[in-house]
Amino acid sequence: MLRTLALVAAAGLLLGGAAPAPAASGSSDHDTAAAALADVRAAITTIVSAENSTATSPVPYHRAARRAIAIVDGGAVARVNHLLDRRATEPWTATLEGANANLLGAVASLRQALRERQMEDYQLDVTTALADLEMALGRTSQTGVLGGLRGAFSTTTLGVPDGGRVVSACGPPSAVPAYGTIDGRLAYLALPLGPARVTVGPDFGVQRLAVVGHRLMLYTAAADESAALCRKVAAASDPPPAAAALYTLAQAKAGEAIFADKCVACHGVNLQGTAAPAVAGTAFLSGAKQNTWSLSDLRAIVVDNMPFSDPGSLTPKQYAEVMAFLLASNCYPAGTTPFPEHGQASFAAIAIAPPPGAHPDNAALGTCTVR
Amino acid sequence: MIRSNGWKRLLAAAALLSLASAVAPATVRAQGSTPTEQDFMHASTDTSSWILPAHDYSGNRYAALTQITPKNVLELKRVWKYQLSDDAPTETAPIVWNGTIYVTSAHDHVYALDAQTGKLKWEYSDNPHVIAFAANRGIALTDGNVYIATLDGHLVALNAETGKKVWDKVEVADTSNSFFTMAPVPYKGMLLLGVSNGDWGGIGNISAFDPKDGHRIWQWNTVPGPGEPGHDTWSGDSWKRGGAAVWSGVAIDPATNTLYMSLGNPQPDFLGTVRKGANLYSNSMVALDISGAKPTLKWHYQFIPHDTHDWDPAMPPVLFTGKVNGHEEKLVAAADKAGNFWILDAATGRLVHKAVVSYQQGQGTEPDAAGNIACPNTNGGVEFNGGAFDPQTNVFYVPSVSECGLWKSPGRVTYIAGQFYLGGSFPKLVGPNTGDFNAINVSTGRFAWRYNFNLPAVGGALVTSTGLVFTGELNGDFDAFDAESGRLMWRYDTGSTIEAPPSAFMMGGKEYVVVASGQPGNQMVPELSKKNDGSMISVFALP
Repeated sequence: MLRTLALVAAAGLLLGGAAPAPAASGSSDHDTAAAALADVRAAITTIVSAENSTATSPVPYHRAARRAIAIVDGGAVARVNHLLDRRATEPWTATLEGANANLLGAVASLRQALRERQMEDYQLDVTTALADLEMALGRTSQTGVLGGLRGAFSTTTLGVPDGGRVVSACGPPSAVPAYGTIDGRLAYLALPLGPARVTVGPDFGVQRLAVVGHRLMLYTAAADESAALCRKVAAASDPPPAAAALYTLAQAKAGEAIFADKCVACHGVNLQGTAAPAVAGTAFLSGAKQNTWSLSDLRAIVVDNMPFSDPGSLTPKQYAEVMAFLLASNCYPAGTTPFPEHGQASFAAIAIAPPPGAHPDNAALGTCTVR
Repeated sequence: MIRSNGWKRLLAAAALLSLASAVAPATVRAQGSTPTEQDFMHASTDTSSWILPAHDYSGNRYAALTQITPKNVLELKRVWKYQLSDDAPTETAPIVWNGTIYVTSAHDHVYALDAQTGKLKWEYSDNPHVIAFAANRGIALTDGNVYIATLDGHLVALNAETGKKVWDKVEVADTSNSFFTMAPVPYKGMLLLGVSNGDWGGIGNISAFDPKDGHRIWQWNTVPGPGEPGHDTWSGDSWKRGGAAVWSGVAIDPATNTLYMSLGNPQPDFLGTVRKGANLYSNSMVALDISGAKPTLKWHYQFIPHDTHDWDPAMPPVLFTGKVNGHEEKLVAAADKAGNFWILDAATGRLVHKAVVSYQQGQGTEPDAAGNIACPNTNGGVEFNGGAFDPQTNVFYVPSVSECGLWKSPGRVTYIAGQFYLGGSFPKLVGPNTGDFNAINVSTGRFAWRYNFNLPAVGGALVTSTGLVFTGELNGDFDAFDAESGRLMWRYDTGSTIEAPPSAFMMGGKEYVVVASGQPGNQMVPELSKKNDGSMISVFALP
């Protein structure tokens, strides 16, 4: 914590700047959320100041409770509902729904408090209401992530003020200051490094600070989730690299005939194994992947140990053809260079795993037919 | 013993009901649907069922059944057959209880069949990822459940009445090199189960599991670790992938709580230079005291020290009382893939007799880069379903294989997870690919008779008290011999390869003999016809 503050100070950063102004209707999501936060804070202050007074009459207490009800019910709840009503799902929807429930709970407790005859009962109700309000405001959880309104504010685009520069969280910011976002998540605020003073709102939640290039990066609790989303988007948009072509179709066809003669008794006509294990398809490839087999491993098994009753009995050309058939059956693409008759050092770096972009002819088994 | 009465059925129904509400204690649930501890203790005299893989704890496939005799065996007919959906090598030891036959297939399917009609009651289809040779040798039936140990290292409990999964737990330390093929053995509230990993780079163990939830009660490793006696029989770190798997059945003497096991070959199978020493307890029989919280070794006898040919003692131990030089002695029999049959003193492990039952040659060599021939090969000698003893003739009956192999080892080995850890290759088959059914006089250790087959013989043996001994052949023939003379009395072509051991039982006043058959798998030899009617269960009875 001390380290964080020191870094912030070094960056000439001023935390806890201007409080956001109450939102007017038609204002931005950021302003609405900030106004809701201000409402909750105001309600808490109202109740706590009355509690701290020395009045013996119930009047000032009741007045405070009524005022808090008005602020929460007419302010915060309305604003949160405004944010929730429009679209079904935003990254902050679940969080705000939780906050809303806590706000409604607080209002109910305060209304109950007004009906109590005994001071003790009043205080119990108000204590419950305060706890609900704190929850709605947001408390740091065990994982260090804020919940409630502040949580939504500090990890989603709700935290981006009007006019703030928004950039994609998936790459470095092109200019600063900038808010890095993806899919409604707020990943970071990038600031210039140096003596310039920058004001950051009181509810911007910094989880981690880092200096990247000439920028100070204030990463939020949503930074990791955002990075994962970026990877997913990248994986979906970039076509997967095609597996290397390791054999020719003619080899695979020749290998198919050898397999039918020498291997099929134990490995089965559909290559799923009868007495021996499967040698192609989903079951085989998932096992190979789990055991981190390389093409070199697979070739060693075939060439050194097979056929089971007469290992080493095929010619190098035939073994290469069987390898071609196995690769083809596992949906590796054919090419123009034949599978070599002797092992290659590069084989150790080629993983035996479901080949990228494969389209099995037999979807259930995950195998391909040689054509 | 009457088992199929209405009250018991009612109890079974109640058990199902209570299972659904999950409130009844297991003891209530267990009654009726599965055998009790008392039933297991008295299995040797029980003729109405077959509740342990090799009939009873002795491991001797001997049943005091009297209906089928040498006189009437010619009339024996197949009364039903059931075609298994999983067509592969079939080695299951049928378990028979309360009118149901429980069998398994190579890829861990479990079938509950009506013993009278062969009608399917339920089937459990697992189809796990196979790293090895697909094989399963049967189930355990206890505590209201059927237990199967699978090719991907799971122990699975199924409701014995419905086949629905009760629990499922991974029980091996490394699923890339360890798996299960043996039938779990219920013993005094535990399930005893050995791990198969002897050619894939693991080390063996036998463990006791709680049938209620699968938690491990104890584990005994077959390769001694640092500081344990026998550790110095392994050079360097070779013990860490030393093998000595527990592939097959076990024998137990409940009176002394002694567990007998024959442990598998050392690894890498064909490269001895990287594991100098005798490599205990590979290729050994061990007798463990399992009365305490952890097993303790009583004695061991190593059949082949420092084996370099995968010649492990595949035959499950058989505990029996035989006459040696006119004196009755408690003995334990074993046999290995090198073609040796062994009789040891059950109390001390002292060697009583050794008989050679397969063609042997070149056994002193080690595989090298050029290759050399030794006999038998890895599928030779005595295989996984072993033999049986007849107390009336004082003769032990065991099938054997005469096959030779050309072994090669490049002189180096690399461990690849999920693959053979051999330091060479499985041998090329070079013949003669024949078999024998051997009758060995326990008193002298010499042959009483031998019956020669044109093909390897791996089908196990079953003795009934009328002086009949049954065995199956690779070509699908199921045979009955006169135990005394060795005369072939009856032969029936089941249609597919028999590698499995037979079981027999009485039901509704009739004696039944049951045997599984299927694909030859790695027992395939060029001389065997490729014609095969698929995997099936055949049940025989007199008309």
